[in-house]
Amino acid sequence: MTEPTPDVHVSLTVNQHPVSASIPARLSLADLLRDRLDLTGTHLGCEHGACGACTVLVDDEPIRSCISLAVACAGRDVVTVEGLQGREVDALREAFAEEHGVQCGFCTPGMLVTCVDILRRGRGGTDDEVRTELGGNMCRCTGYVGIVNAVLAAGAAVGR
Amino acid sequence: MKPRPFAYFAPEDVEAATTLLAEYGDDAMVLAGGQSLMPLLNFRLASPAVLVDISRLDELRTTHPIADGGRRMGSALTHSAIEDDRIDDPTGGLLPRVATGIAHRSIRNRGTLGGSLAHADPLAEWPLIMCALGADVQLRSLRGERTVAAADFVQGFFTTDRADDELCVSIDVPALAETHTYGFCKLARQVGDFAEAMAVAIIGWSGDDTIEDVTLWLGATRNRPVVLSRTEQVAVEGVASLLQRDLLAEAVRLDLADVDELGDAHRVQMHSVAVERALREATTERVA
Repeated sequence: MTEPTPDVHVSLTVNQHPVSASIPARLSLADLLRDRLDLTGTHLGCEHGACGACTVLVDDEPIRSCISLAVACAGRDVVTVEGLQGREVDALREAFAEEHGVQCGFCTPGMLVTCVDILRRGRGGTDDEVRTELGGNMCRCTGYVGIVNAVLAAGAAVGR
Repeated sequence: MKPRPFAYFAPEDVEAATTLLAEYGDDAMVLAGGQSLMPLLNFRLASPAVLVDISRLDELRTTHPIADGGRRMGSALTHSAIEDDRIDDPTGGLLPRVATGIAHRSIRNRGTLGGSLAHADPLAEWPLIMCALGADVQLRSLRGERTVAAADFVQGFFTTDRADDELCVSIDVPALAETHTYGFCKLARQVGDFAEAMAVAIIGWSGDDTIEDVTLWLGATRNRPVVLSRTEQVAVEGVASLLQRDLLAEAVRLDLADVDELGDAHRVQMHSVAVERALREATTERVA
C-alpha cells in the first residue's frame, strides 16, 4: 500500500497577499481559505460542487473551491468575496442592496463572485441570460427575483 | 477534509505522468479537472491510494490542425475553452454549442474534454458527440501511443478501453464539411443538469438538397452512446418521413430494443423527442 503524502508546502496568492502553508494533499481550497486563512466569507453548502456557495476566482475564473484541491492551486491567484474589487463589484454591491438580492446571505458570496464573472464576460443582458448564467448557484431562500434584478441593474450601471 | 488520504503527485510532463501510472497501476486515479472525481472523493465513493494530478500539463491544453480540416485537441482543454471557441472549432459550431450546455461556467472552467471521455458517464455530452463525429482518442503509456475510435473507446457505464497505465492525451476531431448540417438536443429539467435524453444528428446533403447520409446517435442511455441505424434509414428515406412522428418513434423504439436500452415508456418517449428535435434542427436550414 502506497503511503499518503505527508503535508505539502504550497505558496499561492490570496486576495493579492502571498500565502504559504503546509497542508495535507486532500485539503480542499475552501477548507484552506476558511480554516487556515480565516477567510470565512467563502461559504460551504453542499461540499460536492452542486450549490455554488463556495465559488471563488482562480486566475480570474470562477471555480468551486469545495471540489478543488488546495495543492492544485499552488502558484495560482485566488480571489475570494473578501478580495473582490472593481467597478463591477461596486455596482453589484449597490444593486444587491437596492434590489433586495440578499436574504439570509448564505449564497451571497458565491453569487457575487459568479456575478462579477458574468458582467466581466459581457453576459447577463436579459432576464433569461442571467438565470441561465446563475443556474449553478442555489439560493435556498429562493430570493432569485431580487438577485436577477440586481445583476441586470449592475450590468446597466457599468454599461455592459 | 472529506476525501480519504492519498499520495499526491503533480507530474511536470506527460512522460512523468505515464511513469507514475505504470508504477501504481489501478491504485492510481488521474485527476484532470476533478469536476466528477472530486465529488466522488468527497463522498468517498472513490478512494484511490494515489492521485496523479495532470492539471499542470500545458502540453495537454494545445490544439492544432490535422488532415482534412480536423483538429487534434489536447485532452485537458476545458469545456470553457471549447465554449469560447479558443480551439478553432472544426465542426461549424457544434462543439461550442454542446460545451455551453455542460453544467455551469464554474464547472466548465475546470472540467476537461479528455476527463469527460475517460470518465465515460453515460449522461455526459462528450462521449456522445465524439462517437457521432467519428473522433479518435490518443492514449499514451510507457509502452507507446495508440489511437482508438471514440466509439470503441467508450465501452459502457463508466467503462472505457483505457488501460491503467495509459493517459488520454488528445482527441482528433474531424471537420464537419459544408455539405453537412447538424442538430443537437439535450433534454434536462434545469440549466446545467445532466441530460434526461440527448441526441445528435449529422446530415449530409447532395447538391440538390436531398439527404445523402444521416448519422444519428443517442446519449443519456444506461450504458453508452447508441447509434440508431434503423432511424438513420428512416431519415435517409426522406424529409417527409422525418416529420412523421409515429414512424420515427417506432424506429427509435426498435433501435433501443436492439441494444437492450428500451426502458419504460417515459424514457422511450424522451429519447424519441430528443431524436426528432435533433433531426428537425439538422434539416431546418435546408427545408423551410
